[in-house]
This record gives sequence, structure tokens and C-alpha cells, in this order.
Amino acid sequence: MPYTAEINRTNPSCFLFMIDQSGSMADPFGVGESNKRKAEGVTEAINNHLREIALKCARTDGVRDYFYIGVIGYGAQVGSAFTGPLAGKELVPISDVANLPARVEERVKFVEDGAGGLVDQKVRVPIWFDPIANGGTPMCQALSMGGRILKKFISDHPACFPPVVIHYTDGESTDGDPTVAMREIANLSSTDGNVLLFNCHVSSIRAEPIAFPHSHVGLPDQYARMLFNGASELTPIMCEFAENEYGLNLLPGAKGFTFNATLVLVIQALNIGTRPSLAQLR
Amino acid sequence: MKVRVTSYWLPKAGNTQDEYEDAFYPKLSKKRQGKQLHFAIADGASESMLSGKWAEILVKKFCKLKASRMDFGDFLEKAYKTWNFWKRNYFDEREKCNKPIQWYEEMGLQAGAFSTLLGLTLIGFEEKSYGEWKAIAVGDSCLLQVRKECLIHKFPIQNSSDFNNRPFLICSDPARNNKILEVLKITSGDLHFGDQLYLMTDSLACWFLERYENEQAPWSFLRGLDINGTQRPFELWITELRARKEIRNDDVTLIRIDIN
Repeated sequence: MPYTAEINRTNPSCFLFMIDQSGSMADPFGVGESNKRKAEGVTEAINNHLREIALKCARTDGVRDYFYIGVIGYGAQVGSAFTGPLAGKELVPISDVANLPARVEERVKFVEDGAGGLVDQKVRVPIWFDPIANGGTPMCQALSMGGRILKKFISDHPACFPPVVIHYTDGESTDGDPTVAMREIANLSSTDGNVLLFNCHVSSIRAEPIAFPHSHVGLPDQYARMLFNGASELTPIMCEFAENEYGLNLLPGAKGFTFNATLVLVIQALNIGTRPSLAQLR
Repeated sequence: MKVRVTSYWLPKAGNTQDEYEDAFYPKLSKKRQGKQLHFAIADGASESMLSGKWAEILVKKFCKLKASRMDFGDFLEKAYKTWNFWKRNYFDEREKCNKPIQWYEEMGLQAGAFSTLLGLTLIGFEEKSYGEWKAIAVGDSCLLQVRKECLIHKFPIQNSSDFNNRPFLICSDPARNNKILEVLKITSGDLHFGDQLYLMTDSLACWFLERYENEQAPWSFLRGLDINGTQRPFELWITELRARKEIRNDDVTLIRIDIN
């Protein structure tokens, strides 16, 4: 049965995040409760998520390399979005992600004191990359780079739990039609199944968001349909997770696609895309 | 009361012995006797930091404090105290070794270490060949009692389908244990000469109950492991079960107690 491979240090899996860093990402989210700029919201969500993945892999003896992580940014430039010691690295083991953030900020969070109240607690929060919004949208080039990285990873780990790609974009590709590049990524496979590609459209349009649809009917334009068609179908375990965690009753054929995503949907897509893999950790 | 105790343990396939995060007490396989005998087994949650150490503190404290006589809240207070003392020493040692605590360790430790606990006390009656037992449990570590080739007690899990990835756990941070008394399970039973009691962590307990539900006698497999007093047959058997995917790849711990 696909998507059941155990993830361990000898058979790690991979998360690849692809982020549109074009100039329009400086605009605020179109809908939802947040006035945040899209670049800030997406960056914060992924920084938080990298932290969560590292924590899931942290054990008494250190961070175990259950995953390899890549973050590709595309805008004025295409390449690794990591800054600091990992700058320029395409794919790194999660222990390097944990041990080599760009910086660690000290923040205060409120936690329950066990007696009905809250107390403040200082926490050190790692940051790997900052928001960027600059230049065009060379999506084809970025997807091609992502495909190359994943191909190499799967060649090195042929029986791995299939890599998951989470792609955030707010606009139309400026370097051609990305359909073929998306298909090439989604067709890559290990012995445990195909790579899972999530396309998460973050827009400034004031229109109702659409989350994990099973059909392109109702999508507003050709571009949204193209991203829908390129996205992978959610696995049964992902659908189950979406229902249990978020009460989403998804129809058969539901895809890893969101249109006009709010910040909440950005985080939901991250969780639905990655948590089922984290459950395979041994 | 006289008993013979045999313990077995094995880390997850792919992990080293240092990475084993279950715990059990007492550690030695031998004959024991006394009016009251205490045993405990625990399964430290892999996703939390230092959970193996927390599991070890829980089982030792349960046995050494004779916790079945205590209020469970008092028992936990003493366990927290030991944990905090140990954690301070651990931080000091790290500083001395010039290996400061990393952000992910700090966050993990703030979240607390988590573990199941199953504690068992055997009470012998003077001049008689039988007695009784009392057990407490938080989570899915199990006690199974076999008498004359019949499984007569399952605690706290009754069916293999009841196992899931979210058992109740005891946290090293008291603030996260607000509902612990609601999920604490307590039971008791009687003991006869010749009974066998098995304490086991979840993966083996799930296998045991599945076999039993298929009208087999899984205890006969466990008895067959007792060869030359070594762990080796157990390790080979668990490795085979894992290879055949009959058992989840997890730390495995078993304490077998024969009432003599």
C-alpha cells in the first residue's frame, strides 16, 4: 500500500517548500482576519513549521535526521531561501536546520500555570529566513530546480516515504506555462508512491477562499485551474487528518490545492501536507 | 509470597540501546519473595524530550515508594521533585561540558516529558498459597493475568482495537496533568499459585490481544522465550514479528511474573 513507508534515519523523507517571493507578495492577504503582508504571513508560517518539524525530530541525543528540508524562493532570484549558515544550501538534513538557524530570537509566551492562570515564559525562537517581495515570478525555473532536487533525493532514497512539496504562489508565472514542470514533479515516485505536490494560492483578491476542491468547477480563472490540475490528490490519510483536525469533509479526488488562501488556510495546508508524514516517524 | 520474575526489553529496530525509552523496575530477572512486591513498566513518549528518563523515574518511584498505598497525587509530587532535581543536574552537566542547551531542547523540555505508567503490587497472605494484586495505569501499558491456560484479566486495555497513537500520558510538568486523576485507572484481582502475570508496553500488548482475539494462546509464545536465562530468544522473536509486520516497530518491554 502506498504512503505507508516507515520514516527513520536510514530511510528519511523530504519536505520541499517553494515560495513565490515576487513583488506582489508585499500586498496584504485579500481575505481573512489578517492584515499581514502575504510574504510575511507565508514566511512566518514556514519558519514556525520548520521549528515544529525540528521539534518532532528532537530527541535526548539531538535532532535525528528523519527528514531533509529544502526551501526554494523565486522572485528577483531563484534559489535556496535559507539565510545565515545554511544560505545557498538546496537540501539539508533536519539536524542542520535545527542547529544552524539564521538567528535565534528571544520572545515571551504565556503558558498555563496549572492553577487556572497564565505565566509568562521566555522562549528562544529560531528564524531561518525573512520575508522577501521583489521581482517577477519565474515559477518554471523554480519548479525545474525543485524537480532536480527531488529526483536526486529519491535516487538516493528509493524506498522513502514520498517527498511532500508545498508551493505558495500569488500570481501568474512570468517565465512560461508551469504545467509540464508541475507534472514532472508530481510524477516522481519512490517505491512507496508519488511525490505529493500542494499548490497554495495566496491572493489579494477579495473572493471567497476555496480549500482542497475535488473539481476545477467554480475556480475563477484558467490560472487557478492550472494550479488545481498540477496539484496531487490528497492521500486517504491526509483526508482523514483534514476531517479529524479541521472538520473538513473532503470529497473523493480532493486535491492539495487552495485558492485565495487566508493565513489560516496557509497553515492548514502546511499541516495537512506534513503531519501525516510526521506520523510515520519511528 | 514467592515469585519468579523475568524481564525482557528491546529498542525499536534502527535505534541503539541508549535510545530505548521504555522503562521497567525492578531491573533484575530473579526469584523474589516478600509480603508485598512492587513492579512497574512505563513507555516514554518518543516525541517528547528525555521521556525515557521520566519513564525511569516513574517506575522507580512507584516501586520504591510502595506507591499503591499512597494517594496518586502525592506519588506524582514526589516524582516531579525527583525529575526537577535530575533536570537541574542535567543542565549543570551540560554547561560544564560546554554543551549548552539548544533552542529545540529548551522548547522540548518546556513542553515536558511524557510517559505511560503501569504499576502493580502483589500482596501475599500469610500461611496461604494465594493473595491479591492491585494495579494502577495511565495510558496503554498493560497487565495480563493467565491462570490455568485462561486469560482471566486484561488491564487497562480490553481489545487490540483500543490501541491508538494517543494514549493518556503523565507529564513531568504538573500544569499539564490537570486531568490525570480522571484518566487514572485502578483495579485489583486475586492471585493463585501457578498464575502468571505479564506486564508489557503497547506494541507487544496489542500483538498479545490480537492473538487472543484469534483464539490463540499468546502466552505460550512468551513462555517459550525462557531459554538459558538470556534475552537472545526474545530479541530474535521480536525481530521476526517486526519483519512479518505482526508487531509495530516500537520499543518493547515485557515483565513476566510467575507465582510460585
